[in-house]
Amino acid sequence: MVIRQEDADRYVVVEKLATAKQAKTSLLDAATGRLFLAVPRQAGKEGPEIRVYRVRE
Amino acid sequence: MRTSPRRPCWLVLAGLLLLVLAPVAQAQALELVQTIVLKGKPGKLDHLALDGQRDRLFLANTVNGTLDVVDLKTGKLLRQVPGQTGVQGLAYAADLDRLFVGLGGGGLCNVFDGATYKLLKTFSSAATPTTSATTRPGTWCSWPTMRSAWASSTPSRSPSGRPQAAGHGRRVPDRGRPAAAVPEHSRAVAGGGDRPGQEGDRRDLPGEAGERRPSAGAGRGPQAALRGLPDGADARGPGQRVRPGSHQCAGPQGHRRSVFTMRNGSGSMLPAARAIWW
Repeated sequence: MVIRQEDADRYVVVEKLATAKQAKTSLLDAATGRLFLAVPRQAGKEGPEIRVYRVRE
Repeated sequence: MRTSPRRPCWLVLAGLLLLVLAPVAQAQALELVQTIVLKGKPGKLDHLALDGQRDRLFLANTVNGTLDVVDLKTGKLLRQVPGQTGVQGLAYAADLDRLFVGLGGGGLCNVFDGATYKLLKTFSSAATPTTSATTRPGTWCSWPTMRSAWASSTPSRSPSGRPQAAGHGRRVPDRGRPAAAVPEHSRAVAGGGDRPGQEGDRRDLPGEAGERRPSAGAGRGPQAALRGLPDGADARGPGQRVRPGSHQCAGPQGHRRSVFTMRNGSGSMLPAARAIWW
């Protein structure tokens, strides 16, 4: 879920992004505008994944 | 075959709808740009940490008991460090070039070299189970504590085998705290520095290998550099271990090659060191 802060007390949900089952931890690299999401191994996949998202302005 | 007279109208509406929705789709806040496949069985993954300079991502692969190192430049799993049973919290210190790995349940915190991922040290505490290296400041393996603990540890060895002061001379963030701001119950010693710390000085860790200054005993002598220590306290050269119960951490810029030795009257040395670092 992407939430934008409008001001000190107002927040707006910008986007709800479907990820994967049990994916819960992520890390934002503000310097490069990347968000890393750890995705546990899903059915039919060969291993866990790291998904890299680009944060749009 | 008879066609509905309303069909063109629907086509126009559909076209308009597409025009309206297209900008919305482009306005997504997150765009998936890369998927990097790792190794391991299904199950829990935990914290992530980033080495921005090398563009490498660390993952606590809890279910596999490994520390996974991902090269973001190539988009591939670089290494899986085994033996990290219960791995949960990660914290990478760029200025120290060290990776701290908290192992849940075991009360352990491993410290890895940031370049080779070689295990350098393991801190343990039977009293407080390790939970997270980053998010539980109150726990023994909290990030500031571990950072201080590492900075205070004995000098590491460079790849050439030469002694290297903790931190390899990398800069640490300036906390704007002068050396004189140590808590009342602590004492600081400049073990070979050139001048006392000044407020606002940027703090540097002890010098690089080869740059390491000889013991304070050379020239001025350790006792000559001793300031404010209670009677019987000991001071030795930079980067050297001091008597048990003492603590070392980096000095400010004026003491680039020096190490502050701290003694804490309360018997708990880490908070005192943290006061310097943080």
